[in-house]
Amino acid sequence: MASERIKPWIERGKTFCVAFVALLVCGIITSPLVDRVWPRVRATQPELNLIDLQDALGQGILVGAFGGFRSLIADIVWIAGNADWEKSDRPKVETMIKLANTLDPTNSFFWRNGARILAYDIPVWRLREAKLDTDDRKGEAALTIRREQAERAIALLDTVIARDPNNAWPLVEKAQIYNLVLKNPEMAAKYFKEAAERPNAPYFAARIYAELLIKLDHKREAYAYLRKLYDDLPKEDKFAARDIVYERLRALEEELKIPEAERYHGAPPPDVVIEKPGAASAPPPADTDHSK
Amino acid sequence: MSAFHRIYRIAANTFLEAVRQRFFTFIVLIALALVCSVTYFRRFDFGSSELKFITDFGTGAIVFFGSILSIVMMAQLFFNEIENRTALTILAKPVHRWEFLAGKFTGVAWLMGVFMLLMAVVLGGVLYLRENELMQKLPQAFEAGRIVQYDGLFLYAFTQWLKYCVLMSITLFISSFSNTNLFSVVMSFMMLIICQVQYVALDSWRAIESPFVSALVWLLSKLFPNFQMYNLAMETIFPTKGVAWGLCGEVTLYSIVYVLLFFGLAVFSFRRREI
Repeated sequence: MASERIKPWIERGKTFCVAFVALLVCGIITSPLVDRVWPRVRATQPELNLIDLQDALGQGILVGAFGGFRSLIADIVWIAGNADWEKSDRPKVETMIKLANTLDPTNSFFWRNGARILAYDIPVWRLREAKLDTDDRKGEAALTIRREQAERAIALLDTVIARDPNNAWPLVEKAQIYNLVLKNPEMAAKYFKEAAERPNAPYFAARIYAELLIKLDHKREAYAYLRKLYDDLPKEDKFAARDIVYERLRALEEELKIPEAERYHGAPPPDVVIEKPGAASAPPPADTDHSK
Repeated sequence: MSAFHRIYRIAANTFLEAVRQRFFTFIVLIALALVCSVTYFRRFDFGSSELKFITDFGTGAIVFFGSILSIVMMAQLFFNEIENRTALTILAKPVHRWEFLAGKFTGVAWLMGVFMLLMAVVLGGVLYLRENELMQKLPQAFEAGRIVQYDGLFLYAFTQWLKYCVLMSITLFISSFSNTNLFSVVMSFMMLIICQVQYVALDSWRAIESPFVSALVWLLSKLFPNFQMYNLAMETIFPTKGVAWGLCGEVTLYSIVYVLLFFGLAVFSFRRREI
C-alpha cells in the first residue's frame, strides 16, 4: 500500500534526474554554438542589468522589459518620474533616471536630461533640504553636495561614453558639468577637445575649447587651434560661425602682438566687417553658447 | 495508417480545437489592436527613431502575447484531453503515446505559426505605411533607400516562432508529469522567466570569486536555454551589414536541439503516466 503511494514520487524523481542529466549534457553540447552566437546577439542589444532594475521589482516592469516593450516602458517610467521631479522627490527621481537609462540606454533624451537633473537640479533640492543660508550656499558643505551630484552625473555619462565612444554629445555634457558645476576648466577643456574630434561634434565644442584655453592662459595654443579650426570649418554652413572664429583670431593676434608676417592671411568670411585693430568684439561666454 | 498520418490527424484536430477557443481569439485581437494602435503610442516616444519605436512596440506585443499564448494553449489543449478522458479513447486505438504528444505539439506549433504570420503581416503593414509617409516628408533621410528590411521582419517572426516551439516543448514536458493545468502554466511561466534571465548566469559565472558559487552559476547557465538569443529584431529588421541569415540559422539549430530534448523528456515522463 505504502509502496503504491510512493511509486508516483519515485517516477517523478526518476524523471527529474533524467531531465537534469539530459539538460546538462545538452547545455554542454550546445556551448560552442552559444559561444559563437551569444556575443553577437549581446552586442546588438542594450545592456539590461538586473541590479539596475532591482528598484522596479514587483511593479510589473521586469515582465514588460523582458517581454520586449522596453522603449515604451522606459518612456512611461520617465513620464511618471516627472511628477516626482515636480515634487523634488530626490530618491524617486534618481531611481527614474537609472531605470529609464537601463531600459533604453540608446535614447539620448534619457541620459542627457538625466545627467542634467543629477548635476544641476538635485544639488538645488539638496541645498534646500539642508536649509543652508544664502551665504552657506557657497561654503564647503554646498560644494560637497554639488561635487557629489556632479560625480553621479559624470558616472552616468561615462557609461554612455563607454558604450558609444564616437558620440560627441555625452562628452559635451561631461565637459559642461566640469565647466559649470565643478569649475574645473582644465577638465572641461579636455572633454570639449575630445568632443570636437568626434564625427558628430557640434561646432561650438571647438569654439568653447579655444575659449577655455584662453581662460587657462594658453593663448598661443588657442590661437594655433583657432587658425586650424577656421581653415577646417565649412564655408557654406552658417552654423559653423566662421565669422566669430575669424573675429576671435584677429583679437588674439592683437592681444598676442603677433607680427604682421605671421598673422593669418586667409580670406575673411564674406559678411565680416574687418574692424580696426583692438576693436574686435568680446567672445561669447563659454557656457552660454549652446547653439550648433 | 502510418505514424505520420496519425500525428497529422491529432495535430489537425488540436489546431481546430485551439482556433475555436475564445482565449486564442481574445489574445490575437488584443495583440493586433496593440500593433495597429502603435501610432497613438508614438506620443510617448522621447527621441527613439520612430520606425525603431514602432518595431520595438510591435515586437514587444509579439513576444509578450506570443509567450502567454504558447504556454496557455499548450497546457490547456493537453489537459483538455486528459480531463475529458478523450486521451483514453485516442490511446486505446493504435496510437503511441509519443505520437499523441507529437500531434498535440504540432497542432499548437501550427497555431503559433498562424499567430506569428498574422502579427508579422500587420506589423509589416504598419511599418510600411509609416515608412512611406516618412519618405515623403523627409526624403533626405531615405537617400540610401528603405530603412526597414521586410524580409528580415519575417525572419525575425520565424525565430520567435522557434522560441515559442522551445517554450511549448517545455510546457509539454511539465504537463506530462503535472496533475493540473494551473501547475503547468505557473511552472512554465517560471521557466520562461528563468530562460529570459539565464544570460546573467552565462555572462557572470567566470567573474565570481568563490569556486563553489561559480560552479553553481555555471551549472545554471548550462541547465536552461538562453531566450535572449532570440532578441534578433535589430539584426534582422534594421541590419547594418545585411540581414543576419547565418545567425538565424545557428539560432534555428539551437532551437531544434532544445525542442527535441524537451520533447524527448516529455515522452519519457509520459510513457508510464496513469491517465
